[in-house]
Amino acid sequence: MKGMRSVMLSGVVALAALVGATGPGCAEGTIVDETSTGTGTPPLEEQITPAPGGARRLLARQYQRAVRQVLGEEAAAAVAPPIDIKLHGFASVGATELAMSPVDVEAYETSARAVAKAVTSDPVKLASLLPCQPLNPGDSACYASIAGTFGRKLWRRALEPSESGAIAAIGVKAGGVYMSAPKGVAYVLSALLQAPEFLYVVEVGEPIDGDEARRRLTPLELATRMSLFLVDAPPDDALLDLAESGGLDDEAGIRSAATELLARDEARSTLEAFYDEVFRFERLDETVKTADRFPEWTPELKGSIHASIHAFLEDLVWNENADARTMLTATHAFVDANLAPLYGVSVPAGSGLVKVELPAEQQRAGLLGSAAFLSIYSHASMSSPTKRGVFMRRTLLCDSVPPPPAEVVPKLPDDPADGLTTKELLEQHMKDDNCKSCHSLFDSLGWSLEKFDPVGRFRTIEKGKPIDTSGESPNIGSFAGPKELAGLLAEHYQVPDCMVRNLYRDATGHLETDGEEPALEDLHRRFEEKGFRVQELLVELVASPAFRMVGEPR
Amino acid sequence: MVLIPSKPLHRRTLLRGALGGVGATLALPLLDAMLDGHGEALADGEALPVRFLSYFFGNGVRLDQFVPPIEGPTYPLTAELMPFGAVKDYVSVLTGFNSHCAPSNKITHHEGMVIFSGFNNKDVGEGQGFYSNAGGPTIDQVIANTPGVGDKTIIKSFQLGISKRPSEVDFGTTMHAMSHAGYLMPLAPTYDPQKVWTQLFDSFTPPEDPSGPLRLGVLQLVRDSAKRLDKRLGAADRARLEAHLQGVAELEKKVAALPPLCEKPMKPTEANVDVGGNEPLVSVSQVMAELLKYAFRCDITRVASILFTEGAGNTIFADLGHDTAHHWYTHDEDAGMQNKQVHDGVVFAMERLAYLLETFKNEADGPGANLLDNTAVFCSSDCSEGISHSVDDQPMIVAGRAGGKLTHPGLHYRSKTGENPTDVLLTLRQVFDPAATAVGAEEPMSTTPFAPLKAT
Repeated sequence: MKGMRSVMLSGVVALAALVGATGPGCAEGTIVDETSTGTGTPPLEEQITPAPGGARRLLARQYQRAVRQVLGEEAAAAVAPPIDIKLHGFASVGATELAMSPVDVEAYETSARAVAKAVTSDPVKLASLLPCQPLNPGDSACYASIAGTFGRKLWRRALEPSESGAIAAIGVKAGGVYMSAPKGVAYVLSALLQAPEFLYVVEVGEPIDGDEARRRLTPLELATRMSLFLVDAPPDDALLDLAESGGLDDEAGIRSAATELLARDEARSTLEAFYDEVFRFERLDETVKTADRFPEWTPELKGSIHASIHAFLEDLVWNENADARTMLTATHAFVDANLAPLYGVSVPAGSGLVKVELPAEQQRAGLLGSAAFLSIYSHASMSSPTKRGVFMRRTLLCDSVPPPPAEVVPKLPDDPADGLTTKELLEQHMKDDNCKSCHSLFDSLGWSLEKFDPVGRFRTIEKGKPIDTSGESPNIGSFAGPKELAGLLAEHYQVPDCMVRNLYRDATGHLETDGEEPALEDLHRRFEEKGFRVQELLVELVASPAFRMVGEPR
Repeated sequence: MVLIPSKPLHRRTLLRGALGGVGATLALPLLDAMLDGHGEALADGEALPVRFLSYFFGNGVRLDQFVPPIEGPTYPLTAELMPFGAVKDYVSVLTGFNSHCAPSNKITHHEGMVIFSGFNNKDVGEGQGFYSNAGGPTIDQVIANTPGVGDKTIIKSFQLGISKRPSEVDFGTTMHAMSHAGYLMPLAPTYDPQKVWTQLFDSFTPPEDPSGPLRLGVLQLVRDSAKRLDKRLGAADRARLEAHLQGVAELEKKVAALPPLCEKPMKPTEANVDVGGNEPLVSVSQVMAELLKYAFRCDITRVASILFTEGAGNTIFADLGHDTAHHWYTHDEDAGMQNKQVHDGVVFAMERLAYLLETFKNEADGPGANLLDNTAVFCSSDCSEGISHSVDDQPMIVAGRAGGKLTHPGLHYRSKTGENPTDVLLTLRQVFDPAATAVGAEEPMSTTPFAPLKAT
């Protein structure tokens, strides 16, 4: 997991020095090369040092989709896999590195048994699902056929006869004990679903030209990695067939398969889950606001806010196939009756979300103007320019933001009369050089949004004083308010670069390493060539050599 | 407000010493059933079990309201220790110890968790700043893995959580779990009392149920599958598979075990769901204390941990009228309200622990003894005071007599020399493993137990 890219940090550090920051923390960092991409360079595949391969655990949502894809809706409704634990903000990184606990193992057993029960409780439905009908509770051949058929879909490879035979044996045993063929089937399914070969996705590849440290994913491994990344489900039969017949052996085949995956409905909810994770919108539900100041902060409003940001992103990526940077600059939003008053627009007719233009005087722009972002990145009773600014640095720019140095007491200045605005408090705070070195990098970015209160409502006055949203920030520039800042960010090299990085981390389950930088820069270039369209980036990403290669197993 | 409707546990009965028979119909605590004729040891001659509980609350205390002014067993209860009035004899307060964690561990809050393990955190600051992972097993896991402790019970150890509002400043796992089986092996707590109940009391297989052997057959297939995978993987993934198989082994033990003979509590109605946007912290704490009492009494497990709130967590103490996270109050201190809010939050946390200790004290456990007599509890936080994040003078509470091995009545000890808090962990480890000579590694390691805590 070593090697969060430090190039970006170096930019920040240089500019921290420009603003006279002398404190610790943000003054550290290493400068890393900018890889040359001149002529005469070797093919991209040879420029890359791939990250180690290994085994990743299926994410909870991937587990559920696997069950749904293979065994149906009722089976999927019965699953209860363990909750994913994140590392670096990504469940997929946690799934790569963390060990399972005994409670997790038991949860997988409980879940598998519940799925098996759901699948086998209705004999008519069961009959329609199975590749053969057991002639009796001890029909070993049919159990083996069931293990082989579902095993290939779940384990993402063909089972050896000895493997399906061993699983059939447990079916025969259970069928005999209960004198019931469905019980036999239930145990076959339970065994398939508890197997580490289902729960762990193996990505070890095969050595390229005998080099153990440079390995190409096998076609089935690649099909699995693609499918899990793009639709949160294992490859279906068609994709498995394609992989086995050599259809993923060249980039054209991969692009075509990726495009087909993106046409599936699941692609939308998969990307939605990615944005929920990377922007942390999943925390809306638990976001609390001071009840007497924000009585409108109800579960219904939170639900509308969450649906609104989902609709905004879905429209941008899938309906409009727009430049992803308009995520920051768009002047429209999706509102329903709950949300319209908060945004100061008229209540739409009907019950659903409607796309509306936002009032120009508020200068609300895109993601950073959304109630979802503004409310999550605030405190319960006051806004938080720090949280908002750190988000821009860390999540939009992929800067590395160090924690406060140990000797600093992170304490806001006294304000006994309660007369200071949030900005004034933070300005006083920044008079301390120890604080300034880092806070100057993000607090001023957050000031631009001070006209949006802790629930994202527009305001012009705080503590009786007019709010000033102007500011400047190292390596960003100066801005009069949120709209100008959004424009600066949208034009910033690091913003689309960071979009690439965040998707890559999610896709591969690790933070990018220096050895992968040439591939990421190549992806950035391709993203730009394709007009910064996310759908195109997704295709390019799975076609990238870095996505298709691994190093020696961890 | 006790939300588990249940009959009281019965004391000794006619079936003393009997393990077999019609288990399902017995209505008595397992321990009584297992006691020898004198009620002073288990039927197989082993000593009565000692249990271990570690307890965590986030963001430290206010030292001026916490540290007692005098040392020794007659220490007065300060404002933040006042909740322990009914159990004071069982409570020792240890102050003035300074964390020996590596200076490079210090990224605020995270390093405080070293107090539960004696291992430096790893991966500190990687990537996103507020990042680390526990560097080794926490003390509860070390004790659970001691021969004669975790291997004696159906469940080796269990992890409970109360507040579900996570820390915003832990992009690793150090603070999201307080129990770690090792590096990159966090043991996530279970927050829902109904799930806890199912895990602890309702997932056993009656001997006449034919599913038991079949489930074991499936688990053998799991082992076969792991073996096939193992050959293809590197060392780090093989270690993860090994952890998976450890879980399989624990599950096999549970499936193969006879259901405990004791009366199980009824399923709690509490499911730790927010009420009006607020967490039911009081109710969940009480129910968890009850469930743990039953689990310890029934000898289902001997080791547990409770994560009350996370370090730098987002918990809001709505019961106190708070509308802002406790962590935030610790950084927004002025001379006025916030002082009080931080303090009240600490008292609230201590009240929850005190309730648990009282619950244990009120539960008989062996002749003339109560459950707290036979338990060792270690409680601490991620820092001394939230506002400074300092890991000098982190509050430590050790409660219970641990089967007579810990000093009684409890005392206040204030180190003058910034002793290593891991010394306290070593003392606790030696309660379960007298031959143990060390806890932890590198700077925070201890090889010198803290003597004043031992019974004389």
